Amino acid sequence: MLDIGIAEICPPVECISTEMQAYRFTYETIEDKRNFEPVFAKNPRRFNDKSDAEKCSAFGISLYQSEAQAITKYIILKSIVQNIGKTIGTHLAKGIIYKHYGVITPIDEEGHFDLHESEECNLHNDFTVIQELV
Amino acid sequence: MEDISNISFVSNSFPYIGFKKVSDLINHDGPILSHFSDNNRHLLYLWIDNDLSYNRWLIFEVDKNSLLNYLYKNISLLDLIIDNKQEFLLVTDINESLEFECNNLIKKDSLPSVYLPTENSYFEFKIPNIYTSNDAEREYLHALVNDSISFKIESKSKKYLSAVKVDNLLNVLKNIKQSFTSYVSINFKKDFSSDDFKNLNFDTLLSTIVKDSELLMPNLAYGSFCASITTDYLMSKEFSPIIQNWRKETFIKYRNEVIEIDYDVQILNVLTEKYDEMDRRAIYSPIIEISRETNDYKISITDSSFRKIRKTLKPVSKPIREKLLPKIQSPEIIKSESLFQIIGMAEKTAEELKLNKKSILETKELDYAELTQSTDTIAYKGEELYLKEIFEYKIIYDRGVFIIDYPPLDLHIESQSFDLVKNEFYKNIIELYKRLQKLAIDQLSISESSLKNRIAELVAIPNVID
Repeated sequence: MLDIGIAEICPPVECISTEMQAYRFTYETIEDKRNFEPVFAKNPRRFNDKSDAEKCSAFGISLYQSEAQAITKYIILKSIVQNIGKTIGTHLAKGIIYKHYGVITPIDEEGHFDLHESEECNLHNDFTVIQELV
Repeated sequence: MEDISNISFVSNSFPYIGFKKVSDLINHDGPILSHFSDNNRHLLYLWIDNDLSYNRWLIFEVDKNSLLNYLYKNISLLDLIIDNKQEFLLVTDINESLEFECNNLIKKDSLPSVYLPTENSYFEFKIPNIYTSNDAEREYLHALVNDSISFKIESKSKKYLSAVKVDNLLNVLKNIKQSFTSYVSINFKKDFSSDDFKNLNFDTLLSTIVKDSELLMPNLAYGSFCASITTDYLMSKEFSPIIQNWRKETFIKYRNEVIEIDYDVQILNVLTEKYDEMDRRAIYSPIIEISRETNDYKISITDSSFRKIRKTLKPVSKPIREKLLPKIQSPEIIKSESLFQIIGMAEKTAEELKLNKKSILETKELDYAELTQSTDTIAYKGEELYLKEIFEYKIIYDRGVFIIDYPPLDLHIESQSFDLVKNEFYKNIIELYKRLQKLAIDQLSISESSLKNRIAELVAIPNVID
């Protein structure tokens, strides 16, 4: 469990370690350092209230279970914010998360889950950009 | 980031003080759309841009009903911004330390288009629990009450103190429902045409609209009888935003144009130009009837708490009534024939209900009547469909015309003869049954497939010629 001084238990108790294929919005090159930064580590952080820094999800990395679910979500987000690519990425990457990479939250009905990384996790090495999202 | 310096007024201070975050509505690696409130007013923060130092947020005020409409997919985020009453929107740059550094007021029309959501920006996310709790239910009812017509019915006689006769109450509600249903149907046909809905059957859509315009009572009180009536436009999700807006506006227009109307010459001219005589009769006659001087009750329109009377429904004067609903000038022979048919219907009803002769004579005077028919067999010229259970439908008599309107099978029949309208209805059902039976599943359109299922639910044994 991370010592981050937030009120809720983080990662949540229902998180599990697992090995699975996953999809993540990234920028054009996988080496881009913004690709696997949790929102808490970004500068400037995309927060609009002090309470945002106290939320466990700010320390997770958003991932999707399938390519189709990721693309669907991206299209929906793009309809809300045309500039969405500037903050969450412009491409889709595919990779494997291993058990020792951390724990994942339960996968929701839209195929989304958060990975709470362990210190051994290095997603840059295990993900490949597969397509541009428009 | 977009340069907005030449289109904005910069405010030195953030204009919304005392607002607290209620919930993030859209979140992906941090908030994208968030709801703030000071308990009275509501703000949405929409992330729209960033650079190395700032995140830029579009901040705009919304009313709670519109927010719920957005969450329930009745309107898009774009609608929420564009239809907003505010002329200026706030674009704020927030730095790493969460300081609001630039508060730019931008005229809505001048906002760079890249900062606006697209037309498809409906809420395709899980609604946070806070909006689906009992509080949200209360909010929903509150929203319904806000737009409703609240009224009080009081007995003129003091025989039962302020208690209202159930018959009077039912009559008032029935007449308002009848008038409102006519209003919806007539105005939908005026405001839209089949060309507006390329892939939809206009009549089916109209019957769905009418069905979904059912009047609800979100608020009641007793003593005398007080009720608020309205129609839902928040929960129904199957309609497009244009139709949803139309439905909302139509109820408000109905309230102003029918229930709370103050007749004068100018208004009468507008009404007679807008609606033909038959439409006026369908819309206004039921309301004029419940406002008659001879009724032993009176109706007042109140505020939503039923405390303050805003208006009493007064009897409509004869000159106004005659201009609005002129007496039917039909040839005597047709009138007699029509009345004879009504007598037939009335006598049967009277026999069934053991009504006295006086009731029959009153029925004679009516221009409008409804008769429920039931049968276990649809038969026409030797062909028959034996039904699984008793089938009920309604024949409406409206000033010389007998009408059967049966939306489930998409049928609307009119005739000047009671027997003919019935025969034509049965003939149409049998023909529809035969036509749909001949078509293979892959030849059926969606609406035909749905019709076929509905007929299949009715028919037990067919005896028809292929």
